[in-house]
Amino acid sequence: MTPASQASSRRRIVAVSPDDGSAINLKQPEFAAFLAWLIPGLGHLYQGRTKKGAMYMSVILTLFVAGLWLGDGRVVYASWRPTDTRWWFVCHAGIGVAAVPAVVQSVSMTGANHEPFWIAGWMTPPLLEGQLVSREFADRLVNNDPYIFELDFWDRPPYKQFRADQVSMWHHKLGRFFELGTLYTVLAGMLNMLVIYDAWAGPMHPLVKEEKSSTSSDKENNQDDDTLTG
Amino acid sequence: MDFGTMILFALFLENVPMLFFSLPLIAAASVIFSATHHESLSAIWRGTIEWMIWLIGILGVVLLAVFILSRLA
Repeated sequence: MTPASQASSRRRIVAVSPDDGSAINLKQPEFAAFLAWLIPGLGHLYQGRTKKGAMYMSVILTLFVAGLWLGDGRVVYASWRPTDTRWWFVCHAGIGVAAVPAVVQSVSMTGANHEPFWIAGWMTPPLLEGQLVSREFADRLVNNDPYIFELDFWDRPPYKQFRADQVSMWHHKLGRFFELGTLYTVLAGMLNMLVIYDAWAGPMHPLVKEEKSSTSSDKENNQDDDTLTG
Repeated sequence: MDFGTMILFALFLENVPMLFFSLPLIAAASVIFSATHHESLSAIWRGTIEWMIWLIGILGVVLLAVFILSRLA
């Protein structure tokens, strides 16, 4: 192994704490950022920033679960249909693995079976007027959803066709809590974007104070400190 | 109290639950904003208080502006 490759293998990427100037070992920042997206706070736990990681995890996941609870578990779903495009899911996707079931359910509903992957319907996009569903899923909805009745389906062997609009039903049932749940879950996903950045680059520095207190040469030195070879 | 003010006051009371539900959002956002600017826990908590004051202040001013505009309309 050449000295250059030895040096690169020992390369250590650190950030500087804005509080006490201590070095924060970011380990592999890209991997940490991926972990932070996967589960909020996991990237920080990987970097050894355990208290911060635990705090991020508890805050973001609590917000997300609270939103799901307020929205009766209906507010996180992926739908790209012309009459029901759920743009909020772009923000929901920021939460990582917790939003993945929505994608699976959406893909499964548009598949040949016309039923969700998890038949219980967790994170399933709402049924639209005229949508075909499997008989098993239709029966399950009739039995479990107080807003859906047998008469809400036409018989279209081997499927059943929905003749109402489930989004309207959800809004009628939940009222403002549908928007409130959406807001909570969207904010959880968006805040996790900041957490991902923090795992990738370390804490942000107050730029205004730096400009007042340091010269341009100091700034260059600070930039050099961000990447140390040790 | 005239009728218009009573209506506005009733609308405000109707929205109190929504204001209540916005507080956890402000708190969570403040914690995350602060944590992305600090590393030590004590500094994070101090920053959280600062961010909460800022966010509540900004949202309060927006609410006040909406209230005043609705009175003028």
